Amino acid sequence: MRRLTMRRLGCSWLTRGILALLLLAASSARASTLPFPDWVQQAASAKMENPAGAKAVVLLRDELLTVQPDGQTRLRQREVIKILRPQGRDYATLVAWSGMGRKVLSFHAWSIGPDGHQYTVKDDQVREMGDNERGMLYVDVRAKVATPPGADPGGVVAYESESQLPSYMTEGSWDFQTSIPVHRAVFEVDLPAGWKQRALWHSHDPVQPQEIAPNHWHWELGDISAVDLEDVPLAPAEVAIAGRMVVHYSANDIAQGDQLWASIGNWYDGLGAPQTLVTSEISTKAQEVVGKDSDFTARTEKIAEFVQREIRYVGIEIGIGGYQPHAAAAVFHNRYGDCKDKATLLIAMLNSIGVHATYVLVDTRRGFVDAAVPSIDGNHAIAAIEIPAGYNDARLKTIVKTRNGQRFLIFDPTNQYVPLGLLPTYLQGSYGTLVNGTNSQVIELPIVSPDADVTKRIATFELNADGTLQGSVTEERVGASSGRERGYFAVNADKERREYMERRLREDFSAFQLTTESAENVQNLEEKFVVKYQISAPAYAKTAGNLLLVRPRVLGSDAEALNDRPRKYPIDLEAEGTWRDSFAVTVPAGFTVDELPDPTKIDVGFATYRSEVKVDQNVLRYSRELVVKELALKPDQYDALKKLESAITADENSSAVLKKQ
Amino acid sequence: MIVVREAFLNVLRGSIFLLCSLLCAYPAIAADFQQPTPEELKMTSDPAAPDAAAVYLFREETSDDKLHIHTLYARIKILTEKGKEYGDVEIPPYEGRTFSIRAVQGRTIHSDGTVIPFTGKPIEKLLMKQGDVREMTKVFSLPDVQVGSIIEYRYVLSYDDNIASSPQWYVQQSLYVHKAHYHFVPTQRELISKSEHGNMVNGLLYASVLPKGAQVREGVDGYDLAVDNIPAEPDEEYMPPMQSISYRVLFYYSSYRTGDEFWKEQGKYWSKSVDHFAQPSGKLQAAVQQIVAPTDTQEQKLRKIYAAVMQLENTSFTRQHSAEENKAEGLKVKTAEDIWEQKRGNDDELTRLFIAMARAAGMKAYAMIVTNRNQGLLVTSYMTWSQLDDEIAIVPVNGKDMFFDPGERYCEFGKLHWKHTLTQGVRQIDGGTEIAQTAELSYKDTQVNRFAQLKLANDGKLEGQIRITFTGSDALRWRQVALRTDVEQTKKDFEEELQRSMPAGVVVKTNHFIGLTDSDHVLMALVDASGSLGTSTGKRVFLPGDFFDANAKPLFVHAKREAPVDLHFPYQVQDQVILTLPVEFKVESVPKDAEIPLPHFADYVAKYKGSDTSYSYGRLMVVANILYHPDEYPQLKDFYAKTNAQDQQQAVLHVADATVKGQ
Repeated sequence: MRRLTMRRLGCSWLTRGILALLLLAASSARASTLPFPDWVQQAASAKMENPAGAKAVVLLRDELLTVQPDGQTRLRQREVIKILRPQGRDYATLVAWSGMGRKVLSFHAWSIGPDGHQYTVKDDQVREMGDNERGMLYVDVRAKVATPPGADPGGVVAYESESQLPSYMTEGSWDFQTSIPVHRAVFEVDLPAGWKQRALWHSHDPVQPQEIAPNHWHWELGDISAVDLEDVPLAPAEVAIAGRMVVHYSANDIAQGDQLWASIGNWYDGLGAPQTLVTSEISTKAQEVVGKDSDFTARTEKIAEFVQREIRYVGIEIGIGGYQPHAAAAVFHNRYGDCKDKATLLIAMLNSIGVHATYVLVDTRRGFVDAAVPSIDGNHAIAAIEIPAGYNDARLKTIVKTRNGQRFLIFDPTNQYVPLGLLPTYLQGSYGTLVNGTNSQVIELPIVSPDADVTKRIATFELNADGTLQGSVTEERVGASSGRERGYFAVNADKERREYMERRLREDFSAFQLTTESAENVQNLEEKFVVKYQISAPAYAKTAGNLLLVRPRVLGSDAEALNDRPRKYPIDLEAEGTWRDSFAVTVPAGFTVDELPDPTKIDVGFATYRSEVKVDQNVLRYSRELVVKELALKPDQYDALKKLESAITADENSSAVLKKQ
Repeated sequence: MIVVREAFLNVLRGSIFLLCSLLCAYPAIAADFQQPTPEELKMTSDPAAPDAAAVYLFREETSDDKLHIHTLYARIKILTEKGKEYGDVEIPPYEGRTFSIRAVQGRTIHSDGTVIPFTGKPIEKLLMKQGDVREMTKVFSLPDVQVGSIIEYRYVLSYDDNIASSPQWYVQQSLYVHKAHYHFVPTQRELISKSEHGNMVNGLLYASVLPKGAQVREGVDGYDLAVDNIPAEPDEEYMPPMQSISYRVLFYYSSYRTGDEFWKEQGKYWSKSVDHFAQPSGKLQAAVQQIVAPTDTQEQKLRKIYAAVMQLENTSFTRQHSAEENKAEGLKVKTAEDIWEQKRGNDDELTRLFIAMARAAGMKAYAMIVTNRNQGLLVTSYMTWSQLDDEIAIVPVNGKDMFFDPGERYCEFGKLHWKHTLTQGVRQIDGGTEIAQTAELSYKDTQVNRFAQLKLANDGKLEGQIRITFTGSDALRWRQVALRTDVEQTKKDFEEELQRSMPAGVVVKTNHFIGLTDSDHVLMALVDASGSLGTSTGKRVFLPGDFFDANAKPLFVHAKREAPVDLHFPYQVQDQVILTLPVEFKVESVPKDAEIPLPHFADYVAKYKGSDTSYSYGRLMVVANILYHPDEYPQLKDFYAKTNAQDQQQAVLHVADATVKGQ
């Protein structure tokens, strides 16, 4: 499932794709002969200082959600953007989205050139673009796109669109914070008499609305800073930190907190559960797959592997298909589907062998789903598998316990290379909706401890007097982090694998020959993933008079490139884990070790790092360990992180000195 | 070999309209798929394409311009997980009003022979729609595709009766092709060519690039080609535009009978439009008189005209203005004079303005339209004007043609953007046009001089200034970055690029540029350096022997190479770095001086010096040749590896005072 809500239709990947496409085309419009909208002129004449460094500024973002007594909902969106810098022209491509049940009823665009000329884009100058998301075979999303004239620094572009929202939607979202500053943002909800609304805020203190007409609610914010993640290392997703307001509306009372999560999950249960119907083919296959195994983990694991491996990822979303999965029978027959389809077949197969499983609605952008902001918003679906009472297995590390005491194993069948019992790192620590009828609830997805996600590099080398280094390397990976590497090796042929290794080795060697390379347990997710290779690197050690300078940290880097800019955003460390290196370098005959780098030891609370180089007869032995114990840091921990990274970088670049006897 | 053959049929194409219309019934499409052989089913890898994700066992394209259909039939063997992606089929885009896709069939055959038919419906997908234009595709996914499966599909592209559509057989695909068959039955009706100025179509021609032994067969039933064992198109870094010369047969209906005739006649149309636009009108003559002095030499005049044109806004780097927008502003774009008056134009308009002004100054000046080398290569046997991209200008000076690139804002006087060098195109000559080639650049045309004056403190802290001057292609690149963005963004982009190759711990910050908008002089970047430098042990400090490329990575690392290498433009980089040392540090050793030649093509020299108070070095790298045959790749790779290794050498300092240590 690529996007769960209509709000996500505006997600940035597609906007950027279309921008790239359309900026090639000359804009075209006619000089206006129609009255120019007052609201555009008023917004354009706003007295304000241009925000420093901004490429463009949203002068006005004004949305009006109107709900009819029969539940029909329309959304009118107005936006006025001023271009401030040449690269701000990227923001002058104006887009209105349709698809997945949403219809664009009207779309108009205008602009004011830097010289004050006013333009109105004619209807026949608006393009319509289809969706072209990578990995999705077909999505019925379309975009009306206008590129008004005058989009130079100092120019202003504007649009108004009106859309009919799908009838099943009972929430709207106000994205008042974006990648450029917003001067004024307005959101209004017009409800039929007696209807209720409840607004919830993410990354912003709640603001009380004004009731400017009976049951017509008005929220307004001004001078909202940009979420500018350019040059921000280890940045969270923009949507995770940008302020937004979710408003729920209903003719009935609107639940709060956990009850609201329960009602969202229950709604989805009604959508998804019928699709998990078990057919005889599915049941037969499930029985065949599990065979005679009686152990819960073993049985579940076999079904999981079947869905992971045998069901190809193919996304087809039409109308409510953005939410509702295809029937398990169709997924089984075609052997393809998207994330919610794969979850559906998994649930059906597990149900057929007596294991209860259900959906978990999540988002791959950690921090986007907010436990305090119940919403259907998200971009991914995974599964929760109920663990029988009293059953325990240490391999199952992603267990959550619900309020009613049920234990569920959280599992992502879409990711082919992270086994049952673990969870892809991009999901760990996020929140999700556990779909469980009226017992649905928001859950925190488990974070797997650092000792369960370990990367080891072990190598032995011989160093020649001319500086050539030769030896063999073994890299072992266990845990969810191994999934990406496994995936690359599983998918690609020898040539791509070799080139991948060569690209990695380029980081550590000027010249090298990769003589052999092999991988073990690529598909065997229960076993550690191992890559073995041999290399020969001429001129690895540098000659300096009668000295030979050797970098004991021969290969691989654990350092992150940070910068000195003040940090205002949280830090996403991507994964908790442990990285260990152990390298042995035999010193060439005729040389003795003259000097070694000092050991490094640093503990910053959320991570520890230690390294040392020892001499064991004629062998230099380098060892190090990095343990990352937290997934996300606060901005004020950036200095500690810099201290850590500085120590790692210094250690990685240090030299041992060999002296000719 | 590239072959142009004139067809016997008196029919033609391009974007073509039939003069008469004839209703045709759609032909019945054979629904039978080929039966896989036991060998095909058992196949788990392909010795002919050992690293392939999948291979075409068979590919067939047929086109019948009498029946207004093209068909495609594909049989693909899936060899790896990645190859399963070929189970998702997206039919190449087609114009939705005139063309349609029908009769889509497909199936998957597992390695045990089990057949799973495609029973779904292909989905029509809009790519783009504006006005009457609809760019469409159809997509479908074949069922139960596994590693080892054979997937098969076919479809028919139908088009309206009033057009003809000659096929383009791209024989070389992204996958290895074991066998392929192509067949084309042209129309015999009279046609007019839309792309050739409405001329009557005179014949069917084709251009082909085919492997040895392969040949298009002409017969009464049309054209036929059978090929086998076609390697996949290479996809490697620093590749010339190989897509221009992959194996192919491109048919086209044309009003011309020979290539010479085509280029000459089409050249006339183009040349006429250039001359119309580049009229040396009275206003332009008056403008030129204001710019040049009667006593100026021809080159001085050209320099002044060139500089005047360079001052105008180049909308290819800012934003194209629509005709409506120009109209709203009271502007029109019909001739060079309009461009001069409104002070803006796109790249080709500015080139034509330069030509017009040179002519207004009494000189001969010619236009040339070239194929941009970053996109393609001109295949003269393929008679399609759309191969040509940008216009440049030629002015004879002292009996020798000088080339100018006024459409590339900030391109130096008398130089071309690298994409316009070493390429072919059509140029104006007195009384007509001819195919011509542009010159290549010399390494002297692009020079980068990097100078750093640095000071190291006894705690390892570094401070200093960096001065980098650019000429030629590198100067042009940064000036055009600034043109597309702004100075602040360019400073940021520049320091980020510089930072990537800096030693660990060093931080660079662009202070300012000099000459960012002045292509008559060198571009200079002044950069502040800070941070820390080097690592230490108990009694020594180790400094990177090279400052600017200490953290650079070797350019080429892959052991194997299939395609030639194109380094885009030759260049020279010269470095001088002086590092003042704290009194506590003494130079113990410096890297050995080195010379690393790539005979005839490139050279590298580095010299290092240590004194009681400083460490310094000079480094020169010259890359004079840019095109390398795959056979020459090992030497080229070795050159870059060795120079990179040399740049990783270290200088060793002795710490005189044991209480003082570097970082």
